[in-house]
Parts: sequence; C-alpha cells; structure tokens
Amino acid sequence: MHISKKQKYILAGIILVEIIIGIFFIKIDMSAIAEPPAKLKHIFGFAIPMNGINISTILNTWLIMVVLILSSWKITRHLTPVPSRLQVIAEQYVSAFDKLCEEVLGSGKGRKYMPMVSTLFIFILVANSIGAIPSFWHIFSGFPSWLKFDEPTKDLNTTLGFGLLCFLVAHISGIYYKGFKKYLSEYFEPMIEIGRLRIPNLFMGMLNIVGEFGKTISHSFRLFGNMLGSAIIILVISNLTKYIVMPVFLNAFFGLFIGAIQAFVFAMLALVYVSVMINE
Amino acid sequence: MIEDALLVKELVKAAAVLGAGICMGFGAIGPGIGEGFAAGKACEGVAREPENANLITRTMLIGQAVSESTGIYSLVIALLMLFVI
Amino acid sequence: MQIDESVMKMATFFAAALSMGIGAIGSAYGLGYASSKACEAIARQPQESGKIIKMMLIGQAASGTPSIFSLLISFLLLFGPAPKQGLVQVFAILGAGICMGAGAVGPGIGAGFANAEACDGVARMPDSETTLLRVMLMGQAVSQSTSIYALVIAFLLTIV
Repeated sequence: MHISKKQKYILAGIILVEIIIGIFFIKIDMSAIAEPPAKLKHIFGFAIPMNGINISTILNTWLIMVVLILSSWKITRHLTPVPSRLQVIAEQYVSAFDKLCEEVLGSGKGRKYMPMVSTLFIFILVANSIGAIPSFWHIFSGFPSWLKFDEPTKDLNTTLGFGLLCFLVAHISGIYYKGFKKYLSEYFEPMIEIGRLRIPNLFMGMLNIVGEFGKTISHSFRLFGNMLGSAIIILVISNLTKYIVMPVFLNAFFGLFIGAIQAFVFAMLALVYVSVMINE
Repeated sequence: MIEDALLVKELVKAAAVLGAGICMGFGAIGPGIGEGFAAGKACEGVAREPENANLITRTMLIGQAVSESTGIYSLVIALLMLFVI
Repeated sequence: MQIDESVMKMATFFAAALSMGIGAIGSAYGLGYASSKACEAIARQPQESGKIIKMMLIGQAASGTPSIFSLLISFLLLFGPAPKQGLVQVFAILGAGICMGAGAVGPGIGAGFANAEACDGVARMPDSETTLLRVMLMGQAVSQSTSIYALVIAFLLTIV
C-alpha cells in the first residue's frame, strides 16, 4: 500500500490532535466496569418477572435482527442469472455453509441443519463486532446510558439462550434419528455383561450426564466470557492510554478478529454436537 | 463467647472462599492440558487422513467431554463452597 | 474482625500479581511451542510458509485467550470497584487471583499443543488446510472451557 506525503501529514495531524485532547481533556473513568446494566422493570404498569429485562441487550438484538432480515430480503428479491455483488456474497455464504453441513452430517441430513447453523454464525458475527461501531451520544447528559452499540453477546442471557437452543436441537434430533431406547442406552455404554445379562453401567452414565450439562455450560460461557472479557479489556486499556490511537487496534483485534473466531467456533460446535448425537 | 463463635464462622467462610479459588484454579490445569493433547493428536490424525476428518472430530469431542468431567467436578465443588458453606 | 484498608490493598495487589504471573506461564509455553513447531514445519516445507504462518497466528490468537482472562481478572482487581472490608473479602480476593492464575496454565499449554500439531499437519498436507483449521479451532475451544470455569469462579469471588 502506498501512502503519499500528504496522507502522512494528515495522519500525523490526527494523532497529534488526539494526543492533545487525550492529555488535557479526557479523565480516566472506569466506573463503567462496575455499572450494572440498565433494566426495564415495569411496562404499562405491569411488573416484569425475573428482575426486569436488559434494555441495551434487547435493543441491540432487535437492531441486528432487523438489519439481517432486511438485507437478506433485499438481496433475495431480485435474483438474476448474472449476479450482483451482494448476491455473489450471499451465494458464497450459503453454499459454503451447505458444503460444511453436508460434509459433517452426511448428505441429506446436512441441509436440514444448514439454516440454523448459518443463521447462528451470522447473528453472532454481527453481534460480536457491533461494539466496534463508535457511539458516543450516551456520554452526553440527557441521553440515557443504554443508548449505545453494545454487544448483546456480552450478556449471559443471550448466550445461554443460544446454548440451550443447541442443546435441545441436538437431543431432540438424537431421539428422532435413533429412537428413544437407543438414545437412552448410549449413556450407559459400555454395558457390563454377565453371561447373557447386560447391566447398564451406572458409572459411565453419571460421567456422560455430567458431560452433557458441561457441554452446554461451556458452550454458552465461552462466548460470554470472551466477549465480556474483550469489552472490559478494551475499556481499561483505552482509559489507561486516554483513548489515543489504541482503541482502533483493540477493537479490530478483540471485536472483529476474536469475535469472528468465537462466532465460527460457536456455530461449528452446535453442528458437531448435533452430529455426535445423530451418528452412531 | 458470642464473639468467638462469630469469628469462627467468619474464619470458616474465609477458608471456604479461598478453597473455592484454589479448587477451581488447580482443577483446571489437568483437563486443559489433557484436552489440548487430544486436540493436537486429532489434528495430526486429520493431516494423515483428511477423508476421515469427521470421525476423528467426533471421537476427539467425545474424549474431551469425558476428560472435561474432572473440571466440572471442580466447578461444582467450588460453587458448593461459595454458596453452601 | 476489623480489617484495615491497607490490608485490603495488599491483598488486591498480591492477587492481581498472582493472577497474571501464574496465568502467563501456560499461554507463553503454548505459544512458544506452537511457533517452534511452525519453524520446524517451514524448514521442511518452505514453499508452504504462508499457510503455516496463517495457521500459527490464528491458533495463537485462540491459545492466548486464557492469559487474556488472567489479564482481565488482574484489571478488575486493580481498577474495578473497591470491595467491602472484611476477613472473608481478603481471602476471596486471594482466591480469585489463585483461581484464575492457576486455571489459565493448563488450557494455555493444551491449546498451544493443538496449534503446534495443526502447523505440522499443514506442512504435511497443505490441501486439507481448512479442515485442519476447523478441527484445531474446535479442539482449542473445548480445551479452553476449564479456563472459562475458572473465570466464572473468579468473577463470583471478586463480588462476594
């Protein structure tokens, strides 16, 4: 990449202005680490059960949903034999996931799970990187503190919901493809054989059942821990360097790169948990 | 007498929280290394036979789930020490 | 029991040091092991160096995660909300430091091991790079779950 002399001067000027603003005007303020999320506890006079809902999470989730649904609606309205740029991207995305699912689950079964896995991936990808969009209006007085771009995956409720969804899908497809008896007996294998009698191995059963819960816990806490951790580290390091230059790189690394890896890992693990359940 | 009893209670709670930390911390070492070992060998296996990648991945995940159970036991004990004692 | 503020401060600093100090061991070992294997692989297959370096960097980003969790707990202890004063809180802070510090060792080493074998595998079969990347990321993600349990317990301990 070639940078002309003029661009270099502009870059140096921007950094100089940032340093001056940072040193003289920005105070270190880390109260946001401990700040509990804003919650909506009453709606139209009715109390919301379970300690209210997290406004920022809900708003950002719906924002991402609207953006994704509208863009996919827009792309698929006018499909042409000679594809436009967006159509190429969408086709590549769908065919890549189709190939992946067919490869992992076997042909025929894979296409049934492709919509779930690809939707999980793109939702989590956008959700993880939404924090990189600068939003500063919440720091002015008069604007509520929850009105900002904030990762919904930073909230345990979102990730635990996804984890439970994957758990249910995997187990119900296991029962559907193998039958209830075979599904149940797989927990107690290898059976203890005495003569012709086959006794279920209770020790292995205990290990397997604990393992199933552990899968769901680690599946959802992995995403949550990574995103919460990156958000706090971005906040602390940005504050310590007084927002000079560093936030760009921090957001690029933690928001976009780690976020993309975690989104892929989450979708792949959902797919593989299904494949462990439905295959012999 | 009453102050002594309170002190003992506080000491027990203090030991319990320290114990929860030590339990989860050291309990996480073994499963981490072991599961990573499984993942490494799975990568080696995929490099040798790429067409069996899915079978290898499934086996790896099942093995990892079993070796993870000790980590989950540590988690359970740590949570018990935090909230029950 | 009455606990002085300076004692709380001492406990916080000590726990932050424990968390980051012990937690760096495992990840550093894993990262170094992966890069040593990558060097070996490039020496064997110099024409595939681009793929090997890409695999190494992606894997290292994943295997550095436990130490990032340690950093997070250290930051929280140093800059986070000041805890209440009391004997239980002193031990809870120390426990959080030990928990995250020791909990990051194993996953760091394990994830680094997976990364190293994947680099080796790319050198042996450059065509199956995407499959290897997938298996490596999945294995690393699962082997990191214990460090995430440690993170959860450490979070709970800092707010006791």
